Amino acid sequence: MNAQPAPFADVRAQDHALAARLFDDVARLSPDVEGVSRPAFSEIETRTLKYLEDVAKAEGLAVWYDAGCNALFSLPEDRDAERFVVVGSHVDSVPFGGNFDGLAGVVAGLICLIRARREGRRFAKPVHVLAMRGEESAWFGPCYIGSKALTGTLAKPEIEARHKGDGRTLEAHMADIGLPVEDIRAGKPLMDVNRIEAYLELHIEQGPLLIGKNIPAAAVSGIRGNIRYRSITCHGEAGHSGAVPKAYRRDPVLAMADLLVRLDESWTTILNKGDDLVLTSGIVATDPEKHAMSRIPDSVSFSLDMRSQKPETLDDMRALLKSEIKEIERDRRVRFELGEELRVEPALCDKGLVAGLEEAMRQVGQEPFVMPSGGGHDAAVFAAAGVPSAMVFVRNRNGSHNPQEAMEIDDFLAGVDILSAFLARAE
Amino acid sequence: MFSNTFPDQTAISQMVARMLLEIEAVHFRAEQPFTFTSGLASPVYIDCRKLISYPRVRAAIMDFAASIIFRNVGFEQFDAVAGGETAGIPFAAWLAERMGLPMQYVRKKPKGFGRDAQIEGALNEGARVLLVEDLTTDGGSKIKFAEAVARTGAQVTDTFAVFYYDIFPDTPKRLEAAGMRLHHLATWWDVLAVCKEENRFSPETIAEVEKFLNAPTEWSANHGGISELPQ
Repeated sequence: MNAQPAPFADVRAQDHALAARLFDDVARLSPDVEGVSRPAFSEIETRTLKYLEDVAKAEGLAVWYDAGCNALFSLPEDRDAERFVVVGSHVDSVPFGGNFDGLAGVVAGLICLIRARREGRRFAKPVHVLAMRGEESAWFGPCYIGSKALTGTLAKPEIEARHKGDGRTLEAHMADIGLPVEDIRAGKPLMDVNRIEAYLELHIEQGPLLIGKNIPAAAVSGIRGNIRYRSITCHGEAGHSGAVPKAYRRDPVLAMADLLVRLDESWTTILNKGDDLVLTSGIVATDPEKHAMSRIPDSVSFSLDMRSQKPETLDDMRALLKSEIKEIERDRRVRFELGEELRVEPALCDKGLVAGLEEAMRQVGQEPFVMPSGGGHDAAVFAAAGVPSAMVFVRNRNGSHNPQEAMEIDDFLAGVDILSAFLARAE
Repeated sequence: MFSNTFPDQTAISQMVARMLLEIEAVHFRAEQPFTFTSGLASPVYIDCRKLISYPRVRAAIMDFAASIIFRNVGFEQFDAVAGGETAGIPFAAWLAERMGLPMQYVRKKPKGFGRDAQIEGALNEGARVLLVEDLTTDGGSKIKFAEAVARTGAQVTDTFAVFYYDIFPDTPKRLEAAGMRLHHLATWWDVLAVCKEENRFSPETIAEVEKFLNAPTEWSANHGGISELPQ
């Protein structure tokens, strides 16, 4: 390593200490049995925003809340700008979650503002940092709730979705905090998206690519959309595991396994031919009231989450799912019920912004690298609302949505450098 | 039966490369990579299964195959020709016909149990087997098929593929260690040479393809794929 000039090293040490302090303090506000837990639209989420508000105020930043009860931060002189760049992310987490998923994006935005404030710099365009509530689907089912409410795109079944813990609706939880639920229900945007020049979001990478490539950060080319079924049920016929010969069986578990293997085999071919797809059944269950080792179950339920960068691939997969189901229903004499389908369109990051981020990488001495995002992010909602959007990913070990997620503060600061360089020169 | 002509290997390779391009079995696409089953991201994709639908092309290919095997190995060195499921099966059938030998096919997974649960067809103990597939990427599937043949008491001494990637330096050693000699008609380098000669594809595409062929795992890692091959 070359010796860095002292002032840079000082600033670096300062940023490092600040980032570490913010992450540690917020983690202490939101402990779970293991990892952290910041439920969407909860008191803990409110407390987290309040903590960030205090930090920002102490640094001389402007702080206010929008109609969605999300916190906003800016340099005081940019507070009332007509148009601005939004650097956004969310502060909620999944249960037993990691501390960095979401929070890292908010802290990154804040550090960009704090750096500018301390150095007396302004950005090329005014910057508003947006700390959102309610992105994770773990609490109510729907994802991106906060940003959908802001853009007026939260669907009626979503606002009526029930909390996994207390069974109360999302609407009730939102009303408790003071969100204008009537407006949200009416699909009225809570902000004027036309005032947003660009939406940028820094996030930890949730897959292994940056570890494999051994670089700290990357720009994101696009965000996978998804088709999700929370609960598909396959109905068969119960029977004694010893007594019923194969030809007489209508076994829903084998039918489900058959379906998943068929999808898995097509998945391989789809990748071979150059398309993008991932699929997961994260929940699989026979009824614990009835199931037994020696009983052919009468039904099995499972979730299915299929994601792709391309809307056509999602359409094709839905069609494939239905045709395979038809065939299996005939072969195995079972019946599938798909239940409610939720869909989010894939989002492409804005080409100009991605090029700008690549340029910013070069400027801070990092090899430009662009990769797709496997996980979903609020940026997809802003992109769908017509706001040019882009993302920065930061290297992170062990994936996300678990307490083992491991982002190094140095990598985080490399991502912040890219964001900061971009905001300083945003065209 | 085999028509008994023995063209020069270079002429065969060039002609097969042209055939593959003619029937559009070769795809180059750098901006949105293909993903191999191993997870390797690649700007090249080849579909050798297409060959079976072109009678003149496949007849020439099978004649070339017989000529290469007779010349390189000998005329009386095999007792059977076995195809690897799925794509190897038709090629094995045609080659068995030309070589006047019995044919079997080897399943990817055993059906039931017993030492021949992975083999369809009759295979004698001690038989010297030529294993046939449409292509060889890194030799992994050849080794698994040969193991299944070995469980029956027969032995794969040689393996034939219409197309061999020839971009993973370990492949010949891996096959040799498994007791097999590899025979093939064409490689990516033959396809690349024809593409350049005939100005097929844009220079940028060719440059990207060459980058991949010279350093496949590096290219893969830079394009969202795995950064090392699973062992």
